[in-house]
Amino acid sequence: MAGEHFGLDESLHLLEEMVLIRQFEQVAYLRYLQGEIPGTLHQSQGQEAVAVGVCSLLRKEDWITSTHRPHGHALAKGLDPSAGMAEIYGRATGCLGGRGGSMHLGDPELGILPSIAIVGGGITIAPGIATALKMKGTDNVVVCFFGDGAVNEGAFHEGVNYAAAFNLPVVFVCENNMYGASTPFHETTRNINVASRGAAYGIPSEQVDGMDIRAVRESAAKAIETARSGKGPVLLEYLTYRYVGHSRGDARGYRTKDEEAYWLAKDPIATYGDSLIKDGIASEEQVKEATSRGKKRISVALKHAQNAPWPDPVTALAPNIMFGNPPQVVEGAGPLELGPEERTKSIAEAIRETLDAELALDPTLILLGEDVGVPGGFGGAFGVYQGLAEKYGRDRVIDTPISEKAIIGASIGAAIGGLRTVPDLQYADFVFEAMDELVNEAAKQRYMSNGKLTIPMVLRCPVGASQRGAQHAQHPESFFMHVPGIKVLCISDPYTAKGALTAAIRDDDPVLVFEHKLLYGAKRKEAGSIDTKAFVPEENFALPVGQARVRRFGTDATIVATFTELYAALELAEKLAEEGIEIEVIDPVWLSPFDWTTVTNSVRKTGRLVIAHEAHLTGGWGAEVSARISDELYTDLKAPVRRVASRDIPMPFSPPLEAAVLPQKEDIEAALRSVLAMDHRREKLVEA
Amino acid sequence: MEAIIMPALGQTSDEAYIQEWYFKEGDTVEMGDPLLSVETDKAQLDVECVADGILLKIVAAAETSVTAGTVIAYIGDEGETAPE
Repeated sequence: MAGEHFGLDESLHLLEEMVLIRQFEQVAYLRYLQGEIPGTLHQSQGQEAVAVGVCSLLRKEDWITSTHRPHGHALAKGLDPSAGMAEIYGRATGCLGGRGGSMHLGDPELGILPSIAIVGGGITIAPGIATALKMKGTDNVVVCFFGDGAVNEGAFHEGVNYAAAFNLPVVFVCENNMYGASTPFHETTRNINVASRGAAYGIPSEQVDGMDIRAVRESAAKAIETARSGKGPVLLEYLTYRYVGHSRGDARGYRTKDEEAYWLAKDPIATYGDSLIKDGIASEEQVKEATSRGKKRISVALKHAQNAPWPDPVTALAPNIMFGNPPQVVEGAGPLELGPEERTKSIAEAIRETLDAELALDPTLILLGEDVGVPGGFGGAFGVYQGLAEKYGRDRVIDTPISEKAIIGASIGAAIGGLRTVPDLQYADFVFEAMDELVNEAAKQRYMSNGKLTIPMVLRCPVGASQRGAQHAQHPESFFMHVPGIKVLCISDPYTAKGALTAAIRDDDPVLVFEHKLLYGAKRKEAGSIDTKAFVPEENFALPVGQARVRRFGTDATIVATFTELYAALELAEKLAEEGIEIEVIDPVWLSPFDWTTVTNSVRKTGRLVIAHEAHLTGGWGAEVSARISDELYTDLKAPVRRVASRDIPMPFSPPLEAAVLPQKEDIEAALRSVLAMDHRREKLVEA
Repeated sequence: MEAIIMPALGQTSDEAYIQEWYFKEGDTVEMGDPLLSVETDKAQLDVECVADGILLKIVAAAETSVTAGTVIAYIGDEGETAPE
């Protein structure tokens, strides 16, 4: 074994902590086989020296992120074994009330992020938490644990580079146990020296024997000191071995007995205990006592878990666990009001004013994105950020690498760490790069944490076809309506832009904001731009989250539409008014939470509904609205609900081709006239 | 006292054939000790003991097949009696 010994108490404490983890894992495994524990288990017997060696150097205020194999990390960072065992038993007294289980152990109050079971998932979140720790002026750090398999994920590259670029206090800890499930690391990786990758990012790195707690402590102490002192991230690679299978029912047929014997001889607990005795640090008796103390704490934890109550099923549905600001029933807003000429603004201006005022009001608010603050740069893809970096500084208007996973991961992490974040994507099409961060982390961390975390992040995404072809045109808003835990805002006018964006920024939950390129009214006019200028009050104001806006009242049919289709609908309504037909036009504004009250009240009155959006027809948000209205208002409807949308074809570049795919005003008119011509209830009366 | 059940070990079948018990009734056993060896559709392997105490009774004898979930033994403290 290498490195200095620690004092008697510290040495015995480290030994006891390793025994505690080993015993926790063993007992959990055996109890699992007895059918007492639901689901599955991923265990870390053999890797205890890494968890204990690193975490024993951390403060409560430091954070860790972990993986699907998190038991050791969480216990070493201070999780009460009873709360941990009860959690994997799925009981009410578990650290997350049974919402997480074995793969998501954690407790934010102890600086343990509910562990992330997506391989590499924590590597983009950790830099964000570190951003918050740094901005708050602390010298606390984040330790990000992951396995060898994770270093071949894109998240590794984006996350490590991001932390390095911004000199963030993150210690990246790779537990290299040589296998990703059953696949040997060397079969899928040419350069198996993970530590050597540090050079690629310009950060210090080291490969260390992970079976030797003294070596682990020595290297971790150095790395943590580097991070604490503002010198940026470090990459540590610990060579280690899991004595058990990847998960339950893994008979380890892919490893040889010789290999297992080699690593068993390096057992971190046995070798450390022996060294304490041999080197005269502790007596055999003291080592035995420390061992039995560790085991005893687990037998207490086991009894607790076995006798703990199951959670009340009703709590699975608790809205305040799901959301920091749970959806409320709201009354729809009315048509836009007129105001003085000097307060008539475009959407781009309204968004800029909103961000400006909120930055001034809330020192914890940061903006992140590509090309947002570079002096002489773009000021965001559509110029929305112009002037903000000069006014608030480039540490609050942050120019990121072109790394969507890292931009959004860091925004989520910083929000978890106590900031409010507004990341920006130049085009909504790039959101698919970061689906994991959005869907698996932003949407789920609050729920998995049993309501202990809030994630106040607002992601801005420009949508819409504007003669840029298939990869700069899409409308992904419908995807996110399908994801519980994410709020979806669609901005179609300047007044709502200010009121709803202000509400979104002040909201405690992740909000995806979609803005249409042709509605911005930015200086550089796009072909097909629509003038959406409207009265916007000077001061920021918050409209209720989930509030739709009735843009025009009418009695004969309802159109629910967003973005360009909203303006087509308003134009059409004026045309039909000349024929004496009164159309009610509703901008839903929020797809999630959706203002069902306003839409249902309208359709009850009119009996006819057309939905229009530029998003593709199949599986577009209109399908959900149509299904729900058809179901709930069956007896009120005079005609079937009709949808008008982009055809199910990738957006072509050439203007005439693009127009052939996009919904046209004539399509909306045809749909509207077809429902106006029908009244199946009257037909039934006539037949009678 | 604790009823010990045959864990689900097979990949495709819940049947396990008990080859041998490593302890006899009355022996002191410890959590983690290999308790018996079994053969499944997948492999031959040891089943580890899940409790500390005395092996009070072996319910499923060696050289018999049992289904996962069946009680195969009782482990308890000195003086306790396993159910018939």
